[in-house]
Amino acid sequence: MNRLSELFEHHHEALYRYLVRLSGDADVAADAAQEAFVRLLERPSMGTVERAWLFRVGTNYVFELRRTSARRTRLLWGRGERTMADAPRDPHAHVEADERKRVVIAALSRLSDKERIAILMREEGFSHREIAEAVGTTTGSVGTLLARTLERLARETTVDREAL
Amino acid sequence: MTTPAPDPLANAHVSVGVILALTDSKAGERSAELDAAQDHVDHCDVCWARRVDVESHSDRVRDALSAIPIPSVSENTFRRHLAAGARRTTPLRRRPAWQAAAAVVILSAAAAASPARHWIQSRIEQSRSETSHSPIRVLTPSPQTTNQSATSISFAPAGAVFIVRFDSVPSAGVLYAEGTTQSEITARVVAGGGAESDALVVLPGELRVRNTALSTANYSVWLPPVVKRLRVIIAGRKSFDGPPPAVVHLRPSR
Repeated sequence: MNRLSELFEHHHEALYRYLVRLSGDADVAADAAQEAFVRLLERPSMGTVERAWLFRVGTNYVFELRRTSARRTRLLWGRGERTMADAPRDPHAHVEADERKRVVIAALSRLSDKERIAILMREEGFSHREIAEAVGTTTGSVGTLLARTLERLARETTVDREAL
Repeated sequence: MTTPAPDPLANAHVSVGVILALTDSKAGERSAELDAAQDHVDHCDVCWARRVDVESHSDRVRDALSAIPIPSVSENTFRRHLAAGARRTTPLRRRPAWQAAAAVVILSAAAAASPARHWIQSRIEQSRSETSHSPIRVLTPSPQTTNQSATSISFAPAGAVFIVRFDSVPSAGVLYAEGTTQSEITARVVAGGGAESDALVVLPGELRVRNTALSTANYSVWLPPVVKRLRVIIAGRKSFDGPPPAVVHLRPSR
């Protein structure tokens, strides 16, 4: 197995999922993942830290796009969109799923960048120490940040869901 | 009068941040402080209740995040994406014909995968009377602009969003998108210099333009009322996203 296959197998699924959730845009996420992998392939192997490195580069790419393009800003978090990978569903399930997705994306978009990165990295299994390094805070305070954000996100997605 | 001594347990409760750290860490990997906090939580009803709350929030957020669909990306797809990205940074040159042919073969292989397979099968059912029985319809434009009927392709829309995706940023060219009262989408390429090897490939909800950095062709698409939004992606970057009609310059001015 060559290095690209190995990296893809170990990291791509989680990185891409994280970037889709972070950006709200599958195309942006694909570009960001590609950028991260290309940069990683240009470097010598970094061992255990390469996962966190990939996520950091992908995250920076997403935010760089947002900073450098006003139009892109409008696209990010604009709305949920159906992708080719979505299987056809019955109309009621489709409407409900789309609405649910819209609610979740809206709730995520109301978080600060730091909160969103932290919560999504936690979802991918990063330790509090790794998350703290990524968002520039201490390990001691990242737990509070995460707990507060989880509580808020749980409340906002649940309330909106019940209002459907 | 003496001040009551502070309750030693009042400040001893474990913060939600530490409770989450306990939830997120494994027993054997904890610091001595976390082990002490775990011991407290195990014997404190207040902290235990907070731990239950924290875990409930975590579960609900995990459930909520699963509502965002994640398109599946195979390694082959990813490698093609990487290759396309690499082409953007290599010197301009005409793509050899074998590469274009290989791309069609790859797309045909991709068509064997669900959900594209179902969509394509339904298209095949509808178009049995048509001349082409290819699961993916590929159109190579004629270099003669006068014979425009030979460079048009029509197909049924797959939803409210229609994507036109160009492989490369061309040297020049414009995409014109207009509305039509017809029920099918029609796409036409007006060939320019260097466009001889370009091809239009119909995918579910998407028209893929296999162009090169040397392409100078113009393209027209007519969109039925069911298509509410057009998205144009050039070399992986979204260039337009809005309702038709639209005029999209394929090589943005710098």
